[in-house]
Amino acid sequence: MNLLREELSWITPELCLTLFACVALLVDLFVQKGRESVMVGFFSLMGLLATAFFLYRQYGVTPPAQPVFGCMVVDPFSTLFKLFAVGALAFVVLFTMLSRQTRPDGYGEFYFILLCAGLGAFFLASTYNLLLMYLGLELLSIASYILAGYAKGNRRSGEAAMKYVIFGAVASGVMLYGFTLLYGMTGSIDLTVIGPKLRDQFALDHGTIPISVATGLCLAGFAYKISAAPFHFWTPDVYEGAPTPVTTFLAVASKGAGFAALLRFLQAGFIPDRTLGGPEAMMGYSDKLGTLVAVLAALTMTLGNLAALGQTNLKRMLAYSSIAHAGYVLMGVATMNREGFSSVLFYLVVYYFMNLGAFGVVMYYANTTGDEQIDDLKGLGWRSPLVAITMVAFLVALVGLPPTAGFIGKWFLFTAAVKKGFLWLAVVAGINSAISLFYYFRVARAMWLRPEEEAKYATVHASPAFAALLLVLAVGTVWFGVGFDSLLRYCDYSQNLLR
Amino acid sequence: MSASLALSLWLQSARLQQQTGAALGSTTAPDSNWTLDLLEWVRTSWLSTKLAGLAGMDQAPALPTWAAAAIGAGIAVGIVIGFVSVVAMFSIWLERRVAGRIQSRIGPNRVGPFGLLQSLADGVKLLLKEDIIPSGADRKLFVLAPALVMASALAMFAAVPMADGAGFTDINLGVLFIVGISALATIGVIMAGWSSNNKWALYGAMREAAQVVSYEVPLGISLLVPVIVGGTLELGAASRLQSGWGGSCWFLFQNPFVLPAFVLYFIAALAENKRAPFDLPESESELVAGFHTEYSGIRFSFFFLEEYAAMFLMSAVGTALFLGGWNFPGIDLLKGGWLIAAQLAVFVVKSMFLVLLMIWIRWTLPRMRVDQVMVMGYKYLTPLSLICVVGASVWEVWAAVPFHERPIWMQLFTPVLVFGVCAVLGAMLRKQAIESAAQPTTRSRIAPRAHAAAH
Amino acid sequence: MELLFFLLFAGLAIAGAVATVWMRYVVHSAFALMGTFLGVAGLYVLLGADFLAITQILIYVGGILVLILFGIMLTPPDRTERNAKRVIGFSASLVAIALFLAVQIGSVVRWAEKSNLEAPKATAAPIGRELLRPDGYLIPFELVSVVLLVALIGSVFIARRRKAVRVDDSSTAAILAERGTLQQKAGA
Repeated sequence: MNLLREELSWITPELCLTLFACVALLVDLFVQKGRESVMVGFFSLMGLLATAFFLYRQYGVTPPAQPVFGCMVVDPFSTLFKLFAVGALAFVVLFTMLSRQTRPDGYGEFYFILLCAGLGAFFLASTYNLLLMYLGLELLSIASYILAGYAKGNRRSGEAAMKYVIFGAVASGVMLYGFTLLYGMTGSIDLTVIGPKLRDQFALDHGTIPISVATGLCLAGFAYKISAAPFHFWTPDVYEGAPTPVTTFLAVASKGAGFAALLRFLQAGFIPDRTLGGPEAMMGYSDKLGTLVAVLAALTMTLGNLAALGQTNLKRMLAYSSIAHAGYVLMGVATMNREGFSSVLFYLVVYYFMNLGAFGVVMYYANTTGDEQIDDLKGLGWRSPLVAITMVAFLVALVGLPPTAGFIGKWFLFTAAVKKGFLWLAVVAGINSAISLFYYFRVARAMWLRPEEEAKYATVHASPAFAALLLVLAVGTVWFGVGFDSLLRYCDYSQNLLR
Repeated sequence: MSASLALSLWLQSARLQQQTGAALGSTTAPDSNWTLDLLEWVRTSWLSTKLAGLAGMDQAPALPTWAAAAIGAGIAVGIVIGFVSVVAMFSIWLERRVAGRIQSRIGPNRVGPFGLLQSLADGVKLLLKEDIIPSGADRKLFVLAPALVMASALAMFAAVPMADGAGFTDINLGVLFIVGISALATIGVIMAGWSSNNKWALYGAMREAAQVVSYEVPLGISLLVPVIVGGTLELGAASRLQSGWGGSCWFLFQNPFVLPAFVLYFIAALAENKRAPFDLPESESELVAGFHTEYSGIRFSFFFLEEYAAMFLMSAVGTALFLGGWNFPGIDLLKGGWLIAAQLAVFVVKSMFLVLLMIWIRWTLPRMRVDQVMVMGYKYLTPLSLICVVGASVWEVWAAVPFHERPIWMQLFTPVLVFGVCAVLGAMLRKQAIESAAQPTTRSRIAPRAHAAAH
Repeated sequence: MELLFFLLFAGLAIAGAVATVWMRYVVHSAFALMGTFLGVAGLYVLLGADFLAITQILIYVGGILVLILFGIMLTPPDRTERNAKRVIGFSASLVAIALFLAVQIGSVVRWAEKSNLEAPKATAAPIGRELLRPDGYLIPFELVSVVLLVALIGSVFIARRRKAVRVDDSSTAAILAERGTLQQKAGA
C-alpha cells in the first residue's frame, strides 16, 4: 500500500490535471448562462496552476530509479516538457477566454477536451513504453481533432477537422504497424528493453532491412505529429480552419509533445551508448538514421519556407512557418547526440514564446476585425502600437535575428549540426532563414510602412489583459535572447539525466 | 447455407478443442468427449465387427482424428438444428395460442392435439412454396442473409449448457460468446434489408442496426451483474454455483441489485430480439414486414425460426445467470440419468416461461415510436444498468465472502427485500385497480366503449 | 486438425480482405469485411486467446461493422467511384504485398524467440488481473478510459443539434429515391 502511495505521489500532476478537466466539465453545468467562458476558464487555470505547482515540486528531486507503475518515467526531461505543455495550455485557455471565436455553448466540453489533450502530451513526454506512448498520442490526436472542428457552423473548421482525422488515422495506423514490427523483433514494448535487444541483433549483423522498415514506419507517425515533410499536408488547412486558440495549441503544445516522444524514441532505441561501445553496425545505423532525419529536415524547412512566401492569409502563413520551424528543430534531432538534443529543447522553449505571441496577435486582430489577411494589417503600427511592436519582436525572433531568443536558439542548432558534420544542412538552413525574412517582413511592412490612411479598419484597442499577455511573451522572447544562460543550463540538466 | 455450416463447424471445433483441453482451457474439466465415445462404440459394435470380418479384418479400423471430429461435429450440428427447430416451432405454436387467448379467440387447434402440429404443417407449406428472389435484388446477399441469421442462432446454442455434464459444451466465456455471436444476426438482418432493394426492407434494416447497437450496451452491462456475483463468465459454472439450499440459491436472490439487473436484461433482450414493444424493424403497420418484406418460402422460414430461437436463447441465458439454471428445489434427490433429464426439463421449462413472458408482453403492450426506443435505451436502461453494476460490486466487496459462506441474515436479506418490494408494488397496483374500477369516468380513456356498454 | 482450421480461418481472413478491396460496391466490401473479422477471431482461438477472439467479434462485428454499414447506407451510393481507381489500387496493392513479403521474409530469422515472450494470458480472469495490477497495465488501462471519455464527449458535442429534432426516416427515403433512379439508369 505504501508503495502504491509513493508511486501515486509521482503522478500527482497527471492526476491533478485529470481531476480539474472533469471539474471544468461539471462546473459548466452549474454556472449562470453567459458567464461560462470566464468561470470554466478560471477553474481550468486553477487546475493548470496546481499542476504546475506539483511539477515544480518534482523538479530537482531525485527521480525514481524504476519507472513509476512500470511504465511512466519521471525525470527532468519529462518535467520540462510537462511544464512546457502546462504553460502553453494556460495561454491557450487565456486566449480562449479573451476570444470570441468559440461557440457560446460547450465551454465546459471545450476546456475539458483541451486539458485532456494536455494530459496526452504529458504521457507522450514521459514514457518509454510504446503502448503508453501510442495512447498518449491518440489522446492528444483525438482531442485535437475535436478541437479543430469546434467552430461547428464554420465550414472551414469542419474541413480542418475532417482532414486532420483522415491524415491522423492513417499516420497512427502506420506508426502502430512500426511498433508491432519492433515488438515482433524484440518481444517487448518497452523501449529500454528494445534498445539492448536491437543492439544484440545488430551484433549478429544480419542486415538492417527489417529494423529500417520498422523505424521508418514509426518515424512517419512522429513526422506527422510534428508536421515534418512529407507528412505536413494537413498543417496549413487545419491551422487555418481551426479556431485560433486551438491552432496555437496545435502549433505549440502538440508539436512539442511530438518532439519529446521522438527524442525519447530515438535516444532509448537507436543511439548506441558510445562510452560502452556498441556493435559497429549499430553505430553505422544510428548515423544513417541521422542522415535520413537531416534530409527530412532540409526538405521540411525548404518546403515550409517556399510555400509561406506566397501566402496572403496570416494563419496560413504561420502554419507554413511552423512547418519550416519543425525543419530547423529536426536539424538538432539529426545530430543524434546529447548536444543536438539539448539544442532541440532550447529551441522548443524559444519557439513556444514566439509562436504563442504571433498567434496571440493574429487572434487579437481576427477578433477585433474578423479578418486574417496580411494586407489588411495596414496601419496597425500607428493605430495600436503596443500590439504591433510586440508582433515585430515575435517576427524578428521567428526569422532568428540577433537581439532575440530566436537567434540564440538557431545558433545552438546550427553549431550542433556543424559539429556533427552536417555543414550542408547548416548552409541550407541559413539560406532558408534568409528566405523567411521576406515573408515575415511583409507583415511588418504592412503594419508600419504603409500610411495610416490606407488602413482598412478603425482603431482597435487591445484589452489590458491581452496587452499584458502579449507583453509577457514579448519580454520572454527578448529576454532569452540576452540572458539565456539559465535556460541553457536547465535544458542541459534535463538532457543529462535522460540517460 | 454454407456459411451456416462453416460457422457451426467452427464452433464444434472449439468444442472439440475444449474437450481435449487444448485451446479454450475451461476451468471445469470435461468429463468425456462423447462424440468420440460414440464413434468408438459404433466401431466396436457387433455390426461393425461383422462388416470388418467380411472385409477380412478382425476389427474395424479406427477413424483418423479429423474424420472423427468431422463426424462428431456433424452429429452435434444435427442435434442442435433439431433442437432449435423443435423449440422454435413450439414457441410459434405457443405464441399463436397465447395471442388467441388474449384476443378472445381460439387460435390454431386443428392440426394435432391442441394444434400442436400446426407449426410443422406451416413449415411443410413454407418448404413447398415458390422461392422468389426479386428481380432488383442483390442475389448473392439476398441468399446469404437468411443463412447468416440462422447460423448465428445455431452457433449460440452451442454455448448453452442445459444440464450438468451430459455433453453440453461449457465455453468458459459463454456469456460473452453469446452476446458476441448475436451480432452476426444483426449483420444478417442488415444484409437482408439492403439486398432486398425495397424501401420497407431498408427502413427495417436501419432501425434494426440502430436498435441493436443501442441495446447491446445495457444488455451486456446488466449481464455483468450476475457475472460479478458469481465470479464467472461460464454459464455452466454459474448454474452449478446456484445449487444448494434445496435448489433455491439463485443469483436473483443473492444481491439486491440482481433483480433490477434482471428486469433491465429482460427489457434489453426484448429489444435485441425485435420483440414488441420494440418490434420497429418489422412493424407491420408502417413497414409491411420490415427487413423480410421480400422474403418468402424457406428463406422466410429461416428468419421466422431465428426469431423464436433467439427468444429462447436470450431466455436461456437469463435462466442460467439469474434464475438458477437447471436448479430447482428438491432436484438434488435424483440420481444419474434421471437427474440429467430433470435438469434438462427444469432448464427448458424455466426458459419457456420467459419466452411466455415475452409473448405475453407482445400481445399486451402497444409498439413504441423510434425516438422513444432510443431514449429508453440511452437515457434509462444504460444508466440504470451501470448503477446496478456499481451497486452489485459494492455489495459484493462489502459482503467480502462468496455468497455460499455468508451469514444467514445476509443470505435472507435480499429475498426478503425482493419479496417485500414485490408485495408493496402489488398492493399499490391492486389498490389503484380497485379505485379505477370504482371511478370509471376518470379513467375511461382507454376503453370508453366498454364502459359505455357496461352502463 | 489444427492446420486444417488454421487454413480455414486464414483463408477466410485473406479472402475477406481481398474482397474488401476488390468488390465493386462499397456495401459488398463492408460485408466482406465480416469475413476478415471472423477469420481473425478464429486465428485468435487457435492461438489460445479466446477472450480476444470473442471481444473481436463483439466489438468489430457487433459494433464497428454495423456502424460502417449504417454509415454506408446513409450515404448516397456512387457506383462509378470504384471502377476508375482499380488499376491504381491493383498496382498499389501489389507493391504493398511485395514490400510486406520482403520485410517478413527478410526478417523471419530475427523475430523474438517464442521462449522469450510471456505465455499468453488468454482468458478473462488473468487479463483482468493484469489490467489492474499497478506494475502491469494499470496506467494504460486508465488512460484508455480518458481517451474514450474524450472521444465520447467530443462526438456528442459534434453530433448534437441545436434544437431537439425528432428522429425520422427522411434521409433514408432520399437515399432510396436516388438509388432507384440510379438503377433505372443502369437498366436503361
